[in-house]
Amino acid sequence: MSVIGAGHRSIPAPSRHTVLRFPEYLCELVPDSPGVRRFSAIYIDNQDPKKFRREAEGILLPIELRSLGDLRQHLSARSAADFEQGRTVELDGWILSQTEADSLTLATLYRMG
Amino acid sequence: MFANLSDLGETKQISCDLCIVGGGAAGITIAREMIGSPLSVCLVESAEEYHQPTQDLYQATQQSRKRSRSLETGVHYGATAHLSRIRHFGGTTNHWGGYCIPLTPHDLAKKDWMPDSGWPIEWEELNAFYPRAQAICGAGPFVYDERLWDTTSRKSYAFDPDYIVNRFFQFSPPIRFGDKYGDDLKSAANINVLFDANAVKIGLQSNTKSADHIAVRSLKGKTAHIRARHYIIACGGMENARLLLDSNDVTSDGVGNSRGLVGRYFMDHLYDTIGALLVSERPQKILDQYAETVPDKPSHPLAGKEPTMFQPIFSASEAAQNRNKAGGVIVMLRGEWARPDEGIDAVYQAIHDQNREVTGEYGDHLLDILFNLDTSLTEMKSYMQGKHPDHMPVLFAIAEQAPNRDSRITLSDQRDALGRPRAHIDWQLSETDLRTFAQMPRLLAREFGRLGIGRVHVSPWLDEDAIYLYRKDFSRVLEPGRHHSGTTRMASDPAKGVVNAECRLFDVENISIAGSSVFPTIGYANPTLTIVALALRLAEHLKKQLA
Ligand SMILES: Cc1cc2nc3c(=O)[nH]c(=O)nc-3n(C[C@H](O)[C@H](O)[C@H](O)COP(=O)(O)OP(=O)(O)OC[C@H]3O[C@@H](n4cnc5c(N)ncnc54)[C@H](O)[C@@H]3O)c2cc1C
Repeated sequence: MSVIGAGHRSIPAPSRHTVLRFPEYLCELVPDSPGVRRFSAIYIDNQDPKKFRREAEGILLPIELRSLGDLRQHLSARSAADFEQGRTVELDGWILSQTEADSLTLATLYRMG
Repeated sequence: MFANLSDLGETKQISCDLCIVGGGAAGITIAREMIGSPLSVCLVESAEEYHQPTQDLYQATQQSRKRSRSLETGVHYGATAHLSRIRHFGGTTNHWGGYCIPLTPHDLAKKDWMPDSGWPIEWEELNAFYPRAQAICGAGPFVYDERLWDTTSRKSYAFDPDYIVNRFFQFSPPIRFGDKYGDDLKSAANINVLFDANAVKIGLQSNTKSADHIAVRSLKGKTAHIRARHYIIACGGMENARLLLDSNDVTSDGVGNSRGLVGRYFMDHLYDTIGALLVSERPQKILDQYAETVPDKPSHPLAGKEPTMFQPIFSASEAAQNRNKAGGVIVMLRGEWARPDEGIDAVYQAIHDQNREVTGEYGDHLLDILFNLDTSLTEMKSYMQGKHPDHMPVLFAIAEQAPNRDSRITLSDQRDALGRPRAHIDWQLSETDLRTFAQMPRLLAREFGRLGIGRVHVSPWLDEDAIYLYRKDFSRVLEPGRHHSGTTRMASDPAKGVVNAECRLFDVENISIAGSSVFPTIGYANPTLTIVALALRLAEHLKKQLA
């Protein structure tokens, strides 16, 4: 399966609050289900989970995150842009944006600790 | 006038200016054009009405292929070959679906990445005849653009035209050419329709440059020769080739076949499910948008005394086809509410381990994920709550088959009741055809994702991992469109085709071919509208030439 995109992080860096809340919000958005675990397993494939986590956070973290709604808006906009720019992945037959695939895999990794 | 070969008593020879073999969409159209002209016309046709022994003359054999256990869901062409054409007056229009759509200039163009593409005529030459062909086919005015949206209460999506464009079908009721136009021919003084007359041979003069007669035979054994100044073979896309190939007593390879091209480049449209759509709104909404419909406003171009039904469809843009080095493809939404690809789970399992779970099962989990991740999908959530998650419109594609020299109709070693070799089908597809299909779910996924319409699930047979299984013989999973084409292709160079731009055989000066066998490429458009347009063009040309 596809590798996640290179970390083209925007500058300035996210606030400390954002960095702290992000895993919690993401896990709230991504349900803990067999489907999510399955997609994640396929997506991460043989990649090193630590490296994946670092890169995915680099891509997904917004600059400012005040609420769960903020994160949804942020990921939703990123998804649409992914589709437009051809950043898609195929997971179990589903064509998803890279943001979606990164999000659900990252949430799974957070849950695994 | 109508007559039966068997009722002609001792008559052994019929003379006329123009002999047309085959009374289907093409033959009837040309004969009608000749009504009232100074030319005497004899149209020979196998049967006036459905007659099982006559229909059985269409049975064909086909190239046997190895069957592998994991690929048993495929449709073999031979299973439907005899049903894919109808052998009595009106021809296959006796059970056509009435879908009308023109070819586009892009369909006719030469593309570097599609070997043997390119028509020897400009699209404008077809365009000149499309409006009349519309009326003959029973469709509405020649309008196939966004005006069909603009004047309805429906709304299009803002697709990026570099990826997806809307196209449209118009629907004929559908008219049966024999029923609709039979009386015109019956009452015409200069037209003689001869039934029970199966053309069995084209007799060439000894110089092989012109035809001397067409030999006809009834199933009861009555024979006659039709002698004409000019002949048109209009027996359908397989049968045109069969008749030419089997007329091999003067030239051993058959008539018009000095370059060995008759029967080659056999093409058909490819039908299959390419995926399913998980829609962000109520699924019925998009299904309604893209459904068959009657014009709902008086100002609609297809409104009028007898409104014409139409249907919007998604198509791969020309730019996308060029980028992907792929042919044309359209997609219709089907509200079957079926889980996609149930039938080919076996293939999936063959690739992965035997216990692999069914792909579609994870649709519900995906819904959960997407509801939460994508703000544009919230409307779907409330609708789908409590409903079965597999309720996804199915993406059903009709794709162009690219010209393929090895795909061909030859003569079988089995014979029909008239003692003629049956047609033998060796239908072969190519990598280009696979690309043509494979591009479409990805193009739709991009646009549906970008616009927040939904997410696409790709059929396992087009999965990147599975595709290798089909490289050699993926005809097994596809259904043919039953639009036989290409077997007497049109070209400007005799080395590359069987007929010239006027649809006349390169090898024989007084035989023309009508029907989709002359199409060098087929686009994704159902063929009959173009068959009729070309028939009108040929009739106009011959009227001048024979005057
Ligand atoms: C199930 C089905 C659905 C279809 N739906 C559509 C559609 O929706 N839209 C569309 O555009 N196209 C459709 N088609 C294709 C369409 O029917 C054909 O493109 C069209 O009928 C071809 O016209 P034709 O005149 O070339 O051949 P035909 O209509 O097949 O006519 C050939 C005629 O020649 C006669 N004949 C054959 N051999 C001999 C012989 N040796 N001697 C004397 N007579 C002979 C036959 O009896 C027949 O009358 C469909 C086809 C099928 C099978």
